[in-house]
Amino acid sequence: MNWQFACNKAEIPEGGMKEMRIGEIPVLLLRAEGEVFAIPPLCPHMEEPLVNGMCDGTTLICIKHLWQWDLRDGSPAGDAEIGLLKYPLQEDADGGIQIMVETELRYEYQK
Amino acid sequence: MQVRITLKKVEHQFSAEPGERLLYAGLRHGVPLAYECATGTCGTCKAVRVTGTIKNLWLDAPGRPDHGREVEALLLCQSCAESDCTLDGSPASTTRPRPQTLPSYFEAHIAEIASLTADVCLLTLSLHRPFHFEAGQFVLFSVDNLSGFRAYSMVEGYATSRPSFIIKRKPGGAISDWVFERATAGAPLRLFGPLGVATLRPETDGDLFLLAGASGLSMAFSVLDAAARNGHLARHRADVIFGVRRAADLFLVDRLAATGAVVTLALSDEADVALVRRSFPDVRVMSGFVHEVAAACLPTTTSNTIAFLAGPPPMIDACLRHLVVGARIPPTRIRYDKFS
Repeated sequence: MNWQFACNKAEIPEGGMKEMRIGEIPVLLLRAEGEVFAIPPLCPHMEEPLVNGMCDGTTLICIKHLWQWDLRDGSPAGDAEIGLLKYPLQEDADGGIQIMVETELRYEYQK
Repeated sequence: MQVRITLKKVEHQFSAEPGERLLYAGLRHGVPLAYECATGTCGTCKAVRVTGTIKNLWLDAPGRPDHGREVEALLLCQSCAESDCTLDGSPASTTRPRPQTLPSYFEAHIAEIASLTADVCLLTLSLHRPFHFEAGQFVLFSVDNLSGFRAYSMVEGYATSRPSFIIKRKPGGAISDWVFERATAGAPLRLFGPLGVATLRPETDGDLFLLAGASGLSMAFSVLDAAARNGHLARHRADVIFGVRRAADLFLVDRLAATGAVVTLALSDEADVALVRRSFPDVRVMSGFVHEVAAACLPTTTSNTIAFLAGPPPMIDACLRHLVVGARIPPTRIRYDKFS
């Protein structure tokens, strides 16, 4: 189990998103209210790319059907029926973002 | 054909006529299948074949699933069963109320075609039985010898046997070309509907904020028609922003102003806005796209203001960003059905 360097925090503007791969695994990084989060890139509802969505504070909103989650704990809000999966993430002293990606996180319906 | 489909571990069963699209067969039997456009473009009705023989009716459907990743994936709206079959699919959202009237097929014929602009007309149909629906819903058109279905919103807000529709001519659009070039009074069509969940709910809705682009104005008329008839407009404010490119693209503005709503015209590509203002003294006229004008003149919203969106998908996405992040209207109070 290893932490892997993803990017520098400064590469993601406040409210912005960055798509990337850690090895073969696609990850979406988001920066909201100063904190960076790492999640699977597709909406757990209809697999809409969440990079098309929007952040309102720490609330992530999918553009397709407006499902919402609190990025801090992944909890669903509004119409969302299931929570958001998150990859463990840590920030080093130099602003480097490291993610723990052992296996690809998949929602129940994808298994 | 007998169809069994599992939606999040709950199994449903329904019958489908030979050649009937599985989505339509399931919906008319009350199966809560997820869908949005119902015409092959959005991909919402994706399902996976488990057993049986399925025929794909539109191999190049824009919303078709990624066949490289899921070889048995299909769109229910573009598939019919050639044997009894079993499928895995997605259920409709459980957090939004489902309209009460199940969709069904209607035989219709054209009663009247009235030109509104160079590429927009008002099409009125005559049905053989009353068509019941909720304000804001839409229906699918099918015409003999033309493949597929096309979605249009009703202009009326109440059950009728003479529904009318605003039809915008789309380059290469088979059904809109038929309406503009070949259709005449008496020509037959087949309808399937009503569909859609972006409906007026007068018991809980408050002020109405309606954003419409081009032929999406049908939805605004439908909601305002129902709101006027059931007394909703006597208790609540309604604002409409109607967007087109130029003044020459405007239609039914006087009828819109007569609804009692506060009307703003949004012109994205008009050189002489002042002239338009003089032509329509009863409404506000502004330059910009619908979402830009909405940002500039959003009325004070209340805790039960409901926003309705109808128009091209890029307009809907731009308006959503403004309403949610800019105007901070909760997503649960924004209603739209995306189809194109």
